[in-house]
Amino acid sequence: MKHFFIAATLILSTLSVLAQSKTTTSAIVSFDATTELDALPKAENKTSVGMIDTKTGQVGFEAAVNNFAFSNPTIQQHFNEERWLNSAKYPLFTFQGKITNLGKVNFAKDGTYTVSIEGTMTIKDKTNPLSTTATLVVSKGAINASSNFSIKLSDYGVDVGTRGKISNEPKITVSADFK
Amino acid sequence: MQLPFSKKTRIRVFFAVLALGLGVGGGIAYYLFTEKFEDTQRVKAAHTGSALEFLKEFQSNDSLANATYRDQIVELKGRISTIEWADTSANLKIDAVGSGDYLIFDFQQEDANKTKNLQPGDSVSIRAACSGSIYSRILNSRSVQFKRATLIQKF
Repeated sequence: MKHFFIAATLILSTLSVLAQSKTTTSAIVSFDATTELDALPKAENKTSVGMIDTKTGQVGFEAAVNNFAFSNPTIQQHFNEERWLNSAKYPLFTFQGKITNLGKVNFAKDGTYTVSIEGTMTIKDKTNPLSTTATLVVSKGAINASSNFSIKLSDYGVDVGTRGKISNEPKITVSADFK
Repeated sequence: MQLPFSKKTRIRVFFAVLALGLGVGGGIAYYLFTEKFEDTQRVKAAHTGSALEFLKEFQSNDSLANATYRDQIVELKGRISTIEWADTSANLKIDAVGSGDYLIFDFQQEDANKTKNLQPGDSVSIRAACSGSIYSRILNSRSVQFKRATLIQKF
């Protein structure tokens, strides 16, 4: 009987810890490198993995580079080829970070919260610090997280050229529903 | 040396070649800028088979499977494990029980209405562009991802 209670306590503790970390496999990551000269280099990846830990404030996402869906086949091919994102060799965009003002968020109470996030973004095996803000909408236990920020592609070894058709600072939008 | 054509003729030929060049160049540029992916319903699949057998190929030799299927249109049959909404469209997942690995299909815009009536447990045939596999450190699992998916049949 004693062993049963120890085992039950361990299982419940584990479940409790797991419940703090919420994940999704359908986060949306949008990439917009359009300029006045070219409206084509933009795409969405709707199968990104996202994570938020309501206890520690850890957040993260992973987006498969080759699953960004462009409307134009030629632009999609360029995006994935060696001189750009080289998705065959570097298949993921990853972000790992932490909410720095987690105390402002009450995950037990419905509401909209603006949080600050600090972390690192890795593209093509190059990691750079990234700070941004995000909006968390808590509703009936579910959380919608969204954030907008820009990155410099040159910081990640991506040369967009000098013709001005592709922005070196694409806008990235992330949106995820955690249930 | 006397050229075989008069100056007037040479000017006419020059402008005709220039106009032809501009026309062809403009046509190519127009094609590249307006080119779109074809509706996946109308594209022939390079591979057809079972979704779970397809996933097993990635589990047993990821490099080979990626080299074989990446950017290919494939048609797979399987049972839906989960339907997840991403904005206004549905993603269908087919899980390999026990491993945590899964296949996930992002549907093309044209199929938004077709996926609304699907439920977990339904057996379906889906045609899609295979984007290859990734290993998620967040989930500690492998996924094979697809874009521009279209529903071929619900059994």
